[in-house]
Amino acid sequence: MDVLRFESVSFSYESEASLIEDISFSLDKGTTTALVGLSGSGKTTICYLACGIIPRVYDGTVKGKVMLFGEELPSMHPERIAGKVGIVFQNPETQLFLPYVEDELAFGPENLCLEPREIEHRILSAMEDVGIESLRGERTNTLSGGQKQMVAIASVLTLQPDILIFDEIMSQLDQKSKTKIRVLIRRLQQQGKTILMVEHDFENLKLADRVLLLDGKGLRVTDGEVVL
Amino acid sequence: MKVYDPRTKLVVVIALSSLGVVIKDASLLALVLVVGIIVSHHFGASMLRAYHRLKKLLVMLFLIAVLQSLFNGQGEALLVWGNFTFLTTGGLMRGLEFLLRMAIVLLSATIVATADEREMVQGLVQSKVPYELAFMVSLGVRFLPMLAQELQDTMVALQLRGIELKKIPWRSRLDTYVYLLLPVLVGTIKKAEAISLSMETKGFRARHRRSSYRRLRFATRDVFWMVGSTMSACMLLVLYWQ
Amino acid sequence: MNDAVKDTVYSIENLSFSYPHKGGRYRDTLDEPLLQDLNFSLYREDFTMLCGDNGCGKTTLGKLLLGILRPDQGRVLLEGNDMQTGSLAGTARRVGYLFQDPGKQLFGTTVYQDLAFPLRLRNLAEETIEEKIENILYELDLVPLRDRGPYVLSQGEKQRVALAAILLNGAEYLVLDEPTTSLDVRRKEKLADLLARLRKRGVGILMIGHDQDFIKAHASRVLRMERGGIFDESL
Repeated sequence: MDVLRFESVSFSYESEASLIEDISFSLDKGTTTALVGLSGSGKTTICYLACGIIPRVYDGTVKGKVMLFGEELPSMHPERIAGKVGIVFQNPETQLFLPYVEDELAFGPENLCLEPREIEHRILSAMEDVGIESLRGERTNTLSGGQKQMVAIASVLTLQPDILIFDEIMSQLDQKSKTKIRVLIRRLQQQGKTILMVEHDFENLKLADRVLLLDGKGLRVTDGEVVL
Repeated sequence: MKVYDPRTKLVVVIALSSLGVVIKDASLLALVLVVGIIVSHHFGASMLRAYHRLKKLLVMLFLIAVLQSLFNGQGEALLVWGNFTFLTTGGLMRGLEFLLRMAIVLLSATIVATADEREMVQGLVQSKVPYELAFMVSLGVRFLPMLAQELQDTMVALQLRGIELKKIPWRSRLDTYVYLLLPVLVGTIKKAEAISLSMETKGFRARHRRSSYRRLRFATRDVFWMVGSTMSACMLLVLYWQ
Repeated sequence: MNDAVKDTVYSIENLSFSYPHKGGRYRDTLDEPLLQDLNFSLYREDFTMLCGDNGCGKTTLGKLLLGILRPDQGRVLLEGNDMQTGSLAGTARRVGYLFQDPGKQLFGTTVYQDLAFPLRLRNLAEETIEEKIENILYELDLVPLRDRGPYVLSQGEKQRVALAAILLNGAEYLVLDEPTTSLDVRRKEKLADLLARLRKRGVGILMIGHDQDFIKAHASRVLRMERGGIFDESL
């Protein structure tokens, strides 16, 4: 069953050249898909469409359909989207905005109006999944880049989304942190999460079941083997 | 250090600063300041660090106080040169009052600074302030140091372009400051945008209400301090007006 | 190679540095120096890579080399002179620093204006300025971007504009802070080509980063930072 589907989607900001043109693909439940392509090929645009940032925050002309669990994504309530799709961005510096790690993890569930006991439960399980139990009471601005990115991932996991979008989350991290995140992605795959990741790094493409190549003319799909 | 509810701190601060603003008597202000210092110390505020961070502002305040006290004309003359009376007892008192008042306000700020930002937001929300507003206030407060950092980084970047800021004549210096403005603005807006994306995708503002995993409860000492500070402030004001 | 015949740009002597640190919600302050008692030299002939994990102090060390930060203890000598005595702008004429986000070091409304304004403040004649800029634009493959605004450029283009500005300053040693981070494969190669050309001109390079492939392909010397110490891996 596909959980996310793009049906010949094009997007452009008002009166500008389109950023993506006639893109179609779908993500099957529990699979990991890597999205590769040169800068400016529209990878981030696809991520934004897949989690509703476009058109909710960035307005423009969307053609085609983005379907989430069989519903048209733009017409869904933001709260429901947040519970189904989570996105982690590239820059660890601009995703944390609260004083302490635990506040950051509680932020999403609080927005969904969950009970304190349930929130506590989610904080604990997200910290365990990511392996950051020891960071719970730390100030977010004293963490290293790798730690910040782990916290950012955990803060999305507390919303328990089925689909995770990782927009080049490892590009600013060192080898040690990259290894940790790869291990984490493997664990998320075992939990049955559907993952869409934008990547440049060869090593990280090995995590994917399938690679989508954006080459300016549209998508080319390669299964298993990576062709560049 | 005892942990107080952020709402308690707010009440104490409001009591202190309203006394500071209303009272126009140097000896009473001095009394309020002394009480304020003791209270601030009790709440665990680090006045020494605040002093180091605000040194420049303090110098400026002192200069303003000096200006306020000059040419006042009230009371006995203290400093006369020819036909001009520079300083009088009245002027001296005016300057002193100004300094004391500012000290009380800054002291109040150090008490607020001891509160955990997330708890302060919670305190406001539990006092029926809409959560969006409370969050925006706290983000705004966090944004100020970010803006200051951005400005400082940009100043460094400008100097690394080989520009000796100190050696530029005044007229071109203004032009140079214009160059600073653009990157600072662009940088800050970009950061703000990225943060708001992160907030939106985690469902912020999706509902009119939001829950909280922390709930603040007043302890006995909170009640004591809130009632105590409000009552003493009121009594002092009543006595002062009589 | 014998160090005696190399041109020493930096000598770092007993350098220590730490940031003030705040405690957590459930614990008190913990202070240990980020950099402790570092001793090493950097030479103009090398393409030195400085690697190590996030948070080990690479960027901090870069900032100490430029005088943006001051050491708690020890000295940083640039061409034999203590950095404490020089100004930022003075250092920038000898050493160029490329920010991790090069957008932060561009100020003008167009690429040309950006490169021109520091030269104007030095009271150079307009013709000289134009000649210098046209040359550097050509050298760094920036001619088509001459009248574009720096903020609409890609990361790689911003980097080249920032490098152009650094070179116009007369810097002959470069400190690059993770320049490959947000570049795709094609732009990385372009940067590598450019750096190789600069090296031929006699410009020394210290590059901060953990891009293993880049290190293997281009570095002539590798320094690794670990828990406050620094180790020369090419020895």
